[in-house]
Amino acid sequence: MPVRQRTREQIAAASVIAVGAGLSAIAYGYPQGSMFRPGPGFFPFYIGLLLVLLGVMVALENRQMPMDDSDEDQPSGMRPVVAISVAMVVLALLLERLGFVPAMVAMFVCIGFAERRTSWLPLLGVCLFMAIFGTALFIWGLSVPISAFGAS
Amino acid sequence: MSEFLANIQLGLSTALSAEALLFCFLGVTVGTVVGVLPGIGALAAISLALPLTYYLDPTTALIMLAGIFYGAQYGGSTASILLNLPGTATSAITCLDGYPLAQQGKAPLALFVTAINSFVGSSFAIVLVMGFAPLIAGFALKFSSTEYFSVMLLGLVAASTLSVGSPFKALAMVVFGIVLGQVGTDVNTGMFRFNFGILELADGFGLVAVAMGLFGVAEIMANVGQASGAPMGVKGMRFKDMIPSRSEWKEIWKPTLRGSVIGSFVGALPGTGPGIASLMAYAAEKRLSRDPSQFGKGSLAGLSAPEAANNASVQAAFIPTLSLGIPGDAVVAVLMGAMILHGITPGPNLINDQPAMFWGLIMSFWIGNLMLLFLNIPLIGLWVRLLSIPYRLLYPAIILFICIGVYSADNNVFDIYVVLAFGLIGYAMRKFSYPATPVLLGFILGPLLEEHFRRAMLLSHGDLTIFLQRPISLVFLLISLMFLGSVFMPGLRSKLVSRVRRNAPSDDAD
Repeated sequence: MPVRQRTREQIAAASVIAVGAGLSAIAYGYPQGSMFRPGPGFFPFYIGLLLVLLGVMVALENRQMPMDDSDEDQPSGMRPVVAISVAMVVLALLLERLGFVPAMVAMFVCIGFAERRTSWLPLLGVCLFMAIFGTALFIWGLSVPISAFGAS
Repeated sequence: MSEFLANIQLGLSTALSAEALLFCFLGVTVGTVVGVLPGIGALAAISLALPLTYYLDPTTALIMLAGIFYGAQYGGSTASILLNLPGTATSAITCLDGYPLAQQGKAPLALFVTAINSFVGSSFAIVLVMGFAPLIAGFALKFSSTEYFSVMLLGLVAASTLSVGSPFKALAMVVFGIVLGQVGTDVNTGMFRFNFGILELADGFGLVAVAMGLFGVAEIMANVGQASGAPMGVKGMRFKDMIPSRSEWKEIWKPTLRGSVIGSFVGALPGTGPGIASLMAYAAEKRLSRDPSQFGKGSLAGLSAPEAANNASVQAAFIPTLSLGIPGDAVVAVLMGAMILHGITPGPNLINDQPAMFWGLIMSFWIGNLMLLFLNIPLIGLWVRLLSIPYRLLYPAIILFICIGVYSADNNVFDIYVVLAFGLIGYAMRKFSYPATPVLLGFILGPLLEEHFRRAMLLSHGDLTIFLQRPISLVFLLISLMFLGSVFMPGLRSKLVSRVRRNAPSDDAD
């Protein structure tokens, strides 16, 4: 269901307010100290309140902004975002367990789904290149403590 | 004077060492490459290179990282002119007149002119850095925590209120950045703050992870699936086509100089970057022009002034960074973070304590800019060919680089998740046009801001009015207040923005 731009903007402003309020609430639990010797909770508490205030200002500003109420033109939508996120999680999970090359191959496969029509052959080429170049650069060149194949 | 010459000599001896020359060349080349390729900015490139410089001597490391920064400003215009790709605020302005020139078959000329503009703008600003940074640093030696707090506040306020777009969103993002900077261990008491029981957060978020998430991953997420233009055919680029004629020289020299002045001034203000510099230079040039209707249709003046301005602003941004420790924009902020990681605190003492580093860095700017002139005029064909690599093959490799890059900073996969989280936050911010630059400035300056606040309170025995009693601090606070006040009187800013928008390519379709 298309959500109007103004509504989406206000949801964004509301999340800014929520983050600020949440941080202030947490910081209130830290020692506040005194003005003479501010504690670890002093600064964060007021910074959180400031964030709340600015979120309110953004929300007020949104009300006055002319906005186009049609649904935003998004040809690709969330697909690349999801695919890239999954790809990065997969890489993080496999990097130390299976090694650099298997992890990056799995990552490239996930990234292949970022676009509706992927030409897999060129992507495979890049993947092969990066497997060799990456191993040479990261593992041999910069001695990042991971192995090309196998757990590190 | 003799002292000045001695400093220059010291700087040259540092910058001309074989190691410095090699890494300077490496830096400007990488800068040109990432500048040319749409989708990777200088910021992502510097963050990526940062872990690699841990093994280097700090001066050499800085020379290389700075080279990436200003090198990218040279390269950035290439994609704008040939592809009409407005990736950043800076290149969006270059597109306005650069792309029409390319459509008229004058791409070689436009590329040559922007290289010259960049060189002149940079040179002008480097001279200013040499003159002003030591002066300001000398003045700032008297600063106590009170003044530091106020000047940092000014930097943060200026950065968010002078940006294009909603100032409230920018201010909110500065504050969000300060919050992110508080995650981890409180330096005064050793208490954990906002770490939500996650042990990896005891040291706070890593600078590299935050920067690469907000700028690298977020940008890729936003760009994938977007239609990309095919580069203009510039086969057989001949040197003859590049050289401007006598009348064309006449058309560009004044705008170039004006752009350099505007860019240097804007860049030297704490918190303002190349985007706003190009915007102001373009607006000024259009106002001064005898024939403003030419702007947006391939005017050489409209191409030259912003190009000179953005390069000048990038070099001038080193004035507040090296003399006060207040970064001019996000990229310099990362450079400053790099200095801190190398154990050097940027500030007024830097020039006196580390003269070889300061003057060596400045001299390397000259050398780097000369290298860039060579890289961007005779070798321009090489970079143009680079543009034909499709983005869909490029970005998987960039993501891999980012992931392994952050991993190598601490050898911990946790940082990959942090990058991803900031990538998602940055993507959402982009969608709702919350700027990412202020987050980074707040993140880097926030801990210093808190530290100086607490120290000032300790010195004044908890008297808040100390910030008003000390005259220098009072002046900084008054200027900050002026910037904040300008938010509620949106005269100048909206005028500037609408002026350029009226000229944007989409409006020229009719």
